[in-house]
Amino acid sequence: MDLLLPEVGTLIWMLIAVGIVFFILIKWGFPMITKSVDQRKEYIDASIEKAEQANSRLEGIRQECSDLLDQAKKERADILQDAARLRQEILQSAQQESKEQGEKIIAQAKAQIEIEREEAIRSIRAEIATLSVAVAQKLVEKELDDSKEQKDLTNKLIDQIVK
Amino acid sequence: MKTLRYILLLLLVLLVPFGQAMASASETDEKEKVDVKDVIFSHIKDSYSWHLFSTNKRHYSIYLPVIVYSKEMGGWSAFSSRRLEHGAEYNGYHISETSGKVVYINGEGAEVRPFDMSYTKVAMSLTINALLLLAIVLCCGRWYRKHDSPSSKVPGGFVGFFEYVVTMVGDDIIKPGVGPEYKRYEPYLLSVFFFIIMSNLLGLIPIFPAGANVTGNISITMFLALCTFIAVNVFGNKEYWKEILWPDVPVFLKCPLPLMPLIEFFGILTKPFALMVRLFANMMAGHVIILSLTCVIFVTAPMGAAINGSMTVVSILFMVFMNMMELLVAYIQAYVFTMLSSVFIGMSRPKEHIEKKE
Repeated sequence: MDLLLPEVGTLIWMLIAVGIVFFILIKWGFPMITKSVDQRKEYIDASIEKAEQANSRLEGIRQECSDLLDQAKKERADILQDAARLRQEILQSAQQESKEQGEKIIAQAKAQIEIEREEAIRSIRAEIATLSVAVAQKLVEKELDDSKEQKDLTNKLIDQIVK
Repeated sequence: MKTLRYILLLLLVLLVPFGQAMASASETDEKEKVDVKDVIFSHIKDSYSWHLFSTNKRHYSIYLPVIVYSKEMGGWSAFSSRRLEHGAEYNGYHISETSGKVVYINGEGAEVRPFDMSYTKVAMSLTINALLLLAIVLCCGRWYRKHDSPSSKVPGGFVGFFEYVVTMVGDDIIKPGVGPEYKRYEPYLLSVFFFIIMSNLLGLIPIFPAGANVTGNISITMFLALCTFIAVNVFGNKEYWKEILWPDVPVFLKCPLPLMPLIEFFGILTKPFALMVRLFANMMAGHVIILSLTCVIFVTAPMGAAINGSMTVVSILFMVFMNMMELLVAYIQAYVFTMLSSVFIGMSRPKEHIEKKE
């Protein structure tokens, strides 16, 4: 039965030993540990928050970057398109111009040729006339009896020569 | 499985000759029979000396100081318990046969106990446990003082383990139990937890600086329960006392006859009482079971080698099992004591009731 009865002596020793030890532990021992742990916890939480902020900022920067890139791409495409259009235009106008130029040159050449031809014809005609005159002279020199026949012959000769 | 069988076989082979030796020894002096009750109770109860070990010739013990006070015997007297060995008398004091405590014979010839504050086995043991706990906590604290910037590394090794247990107790037991004001009570509850678990675990180690039945002693558990009682009732707020003295129940239950206040008042006492008895009974029972199993070996010694050998094996198997169980119980009891203490403290600081009436 005395197992169940508290002993005053033991209680007193408990009060002394455990009391002092508990006092030290409560005052300095455990608060030091829990304070450190709490501080570390706060530090970790703050670090995580910072990391998250940095992450979101990075995300923003990345977004900006990709926006910039998209814009640049669009601009490049525009420029390329413009260039192609311009080239087309230049080409077209050049073609147009060269065509016109050619036509003009051809026309000029034609006119020149026409003029020259006419000139040649004229000179030929003159030559022929001279020739025919000479031929006629010769014929006349030979005999001028049948003038009708002569005339026909002359014309025929001229035609032959001209042709 | 195969290994286990070999271990069992080895145990058997080793223990049979041991049992035979025991048997022959007990045959030679039949009068030295094993008194199981005495063995168990001498361990469970407090004593004035700390028995270390025995050889065939003599017992080796640490004799602790006896400090007693009695007006009749002329005030204080302090002496070594060696002087009271084997029923010897010193300064008029001797150790009673019936109670095992230091007594003196008064004028009428009756045994009377003086005021006894001897530094007994339990007192010494609790001092050792407390100092060991102090050393551990302060060593860990030193680590934190050295690494006090929050960006320093997390402790590893023992400090890391200790920190893990501290945060586990703090977050799993104290925080949910006490509630928002837990920071204030945390150091006390942690101290209680670690003192109990230290004492429980050291009680399982059977050799000298450990092995005493500290938490299985009702004075110790009573002290711890009293601490919680004080923490609950001294720091309880107005709402707590209002709930005890004028609880929120129909008036006839509290007005002419204070029924509910009476019940609530008993609640104040039964809570720490339950704490005290639970820890005491659990730890004491564990010690009793393990000691009884040990005694089985010696009780069966006179019954012949075969029975003794087989019983030894059985007893050792059970002892291993029980020790495992006691490891668990050591933790559970510390856990339960701390948890209930935090819950009681949490209940002593209720928030003001928001009027629920519609």
